[in-house]
Amino acid sequence: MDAFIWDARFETGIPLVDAQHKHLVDAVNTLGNELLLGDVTEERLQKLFHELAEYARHHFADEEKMMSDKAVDRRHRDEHVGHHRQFVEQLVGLWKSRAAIDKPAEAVHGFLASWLTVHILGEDQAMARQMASLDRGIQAEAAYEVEKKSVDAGTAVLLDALSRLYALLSDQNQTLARINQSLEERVEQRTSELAKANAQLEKEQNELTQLLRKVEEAQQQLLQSEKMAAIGQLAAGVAHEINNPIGFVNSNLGTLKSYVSQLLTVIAAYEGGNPQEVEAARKAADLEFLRDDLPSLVAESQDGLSRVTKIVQDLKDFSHVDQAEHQHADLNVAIESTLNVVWNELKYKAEIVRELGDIPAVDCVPAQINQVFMNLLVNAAQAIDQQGKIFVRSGVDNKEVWFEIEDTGHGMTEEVQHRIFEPFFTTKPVGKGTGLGLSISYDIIVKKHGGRMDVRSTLGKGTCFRIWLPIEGPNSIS
Amino acid sequence: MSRILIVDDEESILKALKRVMRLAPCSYGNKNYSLEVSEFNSPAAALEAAQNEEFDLFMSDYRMPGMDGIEFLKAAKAIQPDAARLILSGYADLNALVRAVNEVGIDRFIGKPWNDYDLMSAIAQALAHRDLMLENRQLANLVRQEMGDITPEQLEAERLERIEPGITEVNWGPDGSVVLDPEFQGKT
Repeated sequence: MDAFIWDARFETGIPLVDAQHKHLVDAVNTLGNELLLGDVTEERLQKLFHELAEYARHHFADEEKMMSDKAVDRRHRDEHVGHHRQFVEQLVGLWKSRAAIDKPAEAVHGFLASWLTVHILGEDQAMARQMASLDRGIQAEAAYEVEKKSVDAGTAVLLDALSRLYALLSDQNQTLARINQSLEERVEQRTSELAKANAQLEKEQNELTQLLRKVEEAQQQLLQSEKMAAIGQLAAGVAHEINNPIGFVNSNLGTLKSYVSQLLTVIAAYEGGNPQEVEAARKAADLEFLRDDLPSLVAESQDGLSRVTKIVQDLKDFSHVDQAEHQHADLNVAIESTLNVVWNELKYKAEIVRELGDIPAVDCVPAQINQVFMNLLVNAAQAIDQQGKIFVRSGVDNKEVWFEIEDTGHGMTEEVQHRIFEPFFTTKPVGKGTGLGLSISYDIIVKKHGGRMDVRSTLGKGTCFRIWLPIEGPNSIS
Repeated sequence: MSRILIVDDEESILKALKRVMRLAPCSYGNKNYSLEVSEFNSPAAALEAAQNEEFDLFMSDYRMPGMDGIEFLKAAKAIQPDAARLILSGYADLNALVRAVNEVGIDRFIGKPWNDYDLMSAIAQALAHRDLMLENRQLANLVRQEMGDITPEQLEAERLERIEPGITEVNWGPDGSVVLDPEFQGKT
C-alpha cells in the first residue's frame, strides 16, 4: 500500500483549508497504517475512524460555511456539498462492511486517498479559484462560468467523469447495502421462524416422550396387575397345599407333647423303683403303641415341613425376583418350576403328560416366560370340566425353541379364537379372569422376546397353544 | 362309643387326626364321648362304607380329587341324614362356604391348620347337638303317639326309612316291574 503523500498541487492558497487538508491526509495515513498492521484493537480502530470521520465533517462544515459566507455560486456549492454528503455515506458504508471485504486496509485507505486526491485537486481548487475571483470583485456567476472555461477541456471531462463515477459508485453501494440489509432481515426472519418451528418440534417431542412414558407405565401396571390376579388364582391351591402340612405337623407336635409327658411319667416311675408304679405308668402310656407311632409321627412331620419348604422354594423359583433381566435360561427347568406352583391348581383336574425335548438355553427373561407358562397352564386346567390331560411339550426347530401346552378341555369356537389375544376379552365368569392373561402372554412372547405364538382349537376336543422363542434373543432373528 | 368317619386325600392328615382323637378328651358339658374313627383317603371309599355302616359324624376335606367335600357330604347326607357334618379344609372360597352351608347344612367349618382343642370341642358339640336332636324327635314322637297324631306303624316306617332311605317306597319300572336295587333307579 502506498502512503498518501501530500503534493504541492493540493494547495488551495486558503490557509485554513490547506491546514485541514494536510491533517486529513495524515489521519488517512495513520488509519491506513493501523489497519495494515492488523494487531490493533477494534476499539483503537473505531476511535481512529471516528476521529477521521468527525474531522472530515468538521472540515466539510468549514468549507461549506466559507462558501456560503463568500457567496460562491449556488451551482458549485450544491455540487460541492452533494459530494461531501456522498463521501460521508460511502465512507460509513465501507467501514461497516469492511469485515466482508478481502483487503479492508487497502480498500479503506485506497478509497480515502483517491477520493481526497480527486476532491482536493478538482472541486476544492475550483472553489478556491472562485473565491479568489470573488475577492477580486468578480460576480459569483461570472466566476463560476470563468472557472468552468478556465480548466482545460481534458481535465474538466476527467474530473466530471470521476465525480459521476463516485456518485454512481455511491448509488450502487447504497443499493447493495439496502439489498444486503433486506437479505439480512430475511435471513433473520427465516432463522427466527426456524427457531420457532424447532422449539415447537421440541415441545411436541417432549409431550410425546411423556405420553410414551405414561403408556409404558400403564402397561407395566397392567402387567403387574395381571400377575397379581394370576397369583390370586394360585393362592387357593397354594394355601391348601401349605395349610395341609402345617395342619398335621402342628397337630402332631401337640400329640408329641402328650407322648413326651407320658414317657417322662414312665421314666419317673422307673426312677422311683416301685415295680407296681412302673407297670401302671407303662399301661397308662400304652408304651407299645408309642414305640410304634413315635417314629412315624416324627417322619410324617419332617415330610410335612419339607413339603412346605419345597412349596416356598417353588414359589420363589416361579416368581424369579432375581431373574427380571435377560439371561440364558433352561426353559425346561422354568416350566417344571411353574408346573410345581400351578400343580395344586391342576392336580384335581388333569394328568400332566410331559414330553420335554432336549433344548438349549434360551436368551430370555425367565420370570416373564414363567408368567406365560402359568397363564397357559391355568387356562388349560380351567378348560377341563371334569378330568382330562394336559400335554406339555418342548423342542428345537432351527434357531428357535418351541413349547406346546395342549389340553383335552372344551375347546373354543372360531369366534372366540379370533379374539383371545384382545385385552380384556374373557369367557371366564366374573372374578375368575381378567381377560389380560393371553394378551400379556402375546406381548411377552412376540413383542418382548421376538417370538411367535399360535393356537389350534377344536370345540369339544381341546386346545393347543404353541410358542416359539428365538434361542439367541429378540434381535437374533429379523 | 361315637362312630366318626373322616375323609382326606392326605394320609398324614388322617393319621394326625387319629392320634388326636385317641388322646384328647372329647366332651361337651358333662357328656364325654369316646370316639371310634374310620378314616378314608378317598370320598368314594368313604361313601361305600357309609352305605354299610352307621356313623354319628362325617368330617371331610374340601379339595379332593374326583369329588369335593361338599359333594361327598351331600351324598353322605342322602345316605345317613342324621349324622353330623363337618368340613376341615385348608382353603375354601366364599362360593364353597355358601354351598357348604346352604346345600349340605354343615355343623362346623374348621380351617387348617387346626387347633386340636377347638377341633375336639367342635366334634363334641356336633355330637351333643345330634344327640339332642334325636332325643327331641323321640320325645316328640312319643307325644304324637299319645295324642294319636301318629300310629306306631308310621313311627316304625320312619325309623326304617332313616336306616335305609327309600325302603318304604316302591319303585316301579316302566314295564310294571318293581326296581329293588337303587343303582338302577333312574337309569332305565
